[in-house]
Amino acid sequence: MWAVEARRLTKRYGRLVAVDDLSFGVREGEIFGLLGPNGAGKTTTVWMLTGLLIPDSGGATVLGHSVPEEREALGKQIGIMTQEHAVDVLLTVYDNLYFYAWLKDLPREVRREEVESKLKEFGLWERRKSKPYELSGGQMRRLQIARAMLGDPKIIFLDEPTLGLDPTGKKVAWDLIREKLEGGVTFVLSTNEMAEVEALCERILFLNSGRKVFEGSVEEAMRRFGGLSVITLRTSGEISAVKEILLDAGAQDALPSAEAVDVFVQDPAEFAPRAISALVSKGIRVLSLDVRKPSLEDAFQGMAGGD
Amino acid sequence: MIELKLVPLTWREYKRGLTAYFIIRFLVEPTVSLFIFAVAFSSVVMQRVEFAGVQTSYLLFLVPGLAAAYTYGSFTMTYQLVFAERSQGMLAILLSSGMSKLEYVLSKILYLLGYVGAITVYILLGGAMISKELPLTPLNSALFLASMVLATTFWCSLGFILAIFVKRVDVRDILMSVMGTLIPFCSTVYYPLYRSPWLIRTIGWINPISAVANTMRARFLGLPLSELEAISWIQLILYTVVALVLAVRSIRRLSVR
Repeated sequence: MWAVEARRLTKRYGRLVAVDDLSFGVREGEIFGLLGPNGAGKTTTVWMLTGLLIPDSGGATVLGHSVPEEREALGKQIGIMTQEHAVDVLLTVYDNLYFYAWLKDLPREVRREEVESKLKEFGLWERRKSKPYELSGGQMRRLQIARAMLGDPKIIFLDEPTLGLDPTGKKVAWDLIREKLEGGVTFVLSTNEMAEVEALCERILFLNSGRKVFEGSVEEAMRRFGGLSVITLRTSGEISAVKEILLDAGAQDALPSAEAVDVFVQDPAEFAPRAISALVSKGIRVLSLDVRKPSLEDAFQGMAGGD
Repeated sequence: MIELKLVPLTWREYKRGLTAYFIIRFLVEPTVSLFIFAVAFSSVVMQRVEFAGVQTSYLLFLVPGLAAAYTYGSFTMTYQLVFAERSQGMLAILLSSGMSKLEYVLSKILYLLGYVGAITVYILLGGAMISKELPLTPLNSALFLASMVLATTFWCSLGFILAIFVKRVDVRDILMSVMGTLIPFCSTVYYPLYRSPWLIRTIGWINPISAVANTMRARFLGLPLSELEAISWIQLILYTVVALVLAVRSIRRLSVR
């Protein structure tokens, strides 16, 4: 079942096409990553999906509701966290959550209970009487995530949720997201934090200049866009001679440095034994060999450039 | 559906407004204005002044004028609140809850009616303490209140319309600066227009705040209905209806960007 189905969404700001003919789907109960360089159209896409912006053409269905037409009906079922510190600075931390719980029509008898439980869950109970500007960056992010999760929404849109959080804060946030996921919540996560994508996302959508570059699993993205693996070899031989031997053995490229040679290959498991044999046959000993497989970071670069 | 979210939205506005900063500002500004304009002006510049053909003390002339001037505060507050909430992403959060845009506007109007109402009472009581006079009768109080409600609705609607269409910070600042000088000072708030140069007089007569000041002043002083007051009521009602209709028609254009 699809939680989100976007059909040929297009949004222009004057002459700038922010989102261009974009179609994709998010499955129920998955964490879906929305990736792309700054200005790629991620936030505009989220805003169209939550009914906050009206597309110039195309449409979307979120949890069976057409947006933006049914934005008000969808309101109870979604949670959203924006990139900005969008909190009410004149209200206390407690009142920020209480107000939003009220706005989301939580019954009076459970409102207070729900707010208190969220404050404790997100480690903000001690700061409940503080104003948001008195919080640290990490506490501010936690307040925003807590607010997005109020009222048990079925789908949560998070825009850079762990930006500015320390490693412990990130782990806490990720654990909470995983916990909610087990409860059947769907997440759309807009982020440029690759570690976050690897830790949480099953599938991703990569946007560049408002257009879809890739939609699929993280593994497939790395396979298709990650590029070549790099083998760093330190040997007893003379560097330029080693480079020639490795190129003859089938390396796609080799970059010598003062003490080692970086070799670029498609399949390191297949290339390494062949390279070692070739070097040994010339009387050269292999002192060390390190393999670095393509990362999601590399895939990101590949997708950003592979427009 | 409207009442469901209008209540928390209005609660939020009042909760934010009842902070130490706002209360101090709420007390300090009108007090300073009363002392500077009412006490200093009336003793140094003019002690008596003519309004609608009747001679009155400058202090009694000024007190309702100041109350009228404070209705203009609902314009700047609406404009700045909506502008800030959009640029800081708060509008996106509010709208994502399923709140209707009409509820959003109504909550601002309800809050500002309370805010302007409280300041008005404070100014009237302050003026009464200084002048030792409070000539308002119950009927005139009701009409005075009606003028305040119309004026606040008008200024809120105008602030809302501008917040929708003026999105650039520099344009906003220029506009606020020009209007902040022109609206209160080119009007009948602080002085009668009859001795002013024709340009000031012309701007003053079409300036909505003059209509507010004239209606409030006439009821405050308990004068018989004059031509000036009748025209001012017509102007005020017309301005309010047009601004409100335009604001409601512009609502769908309220956007997170």
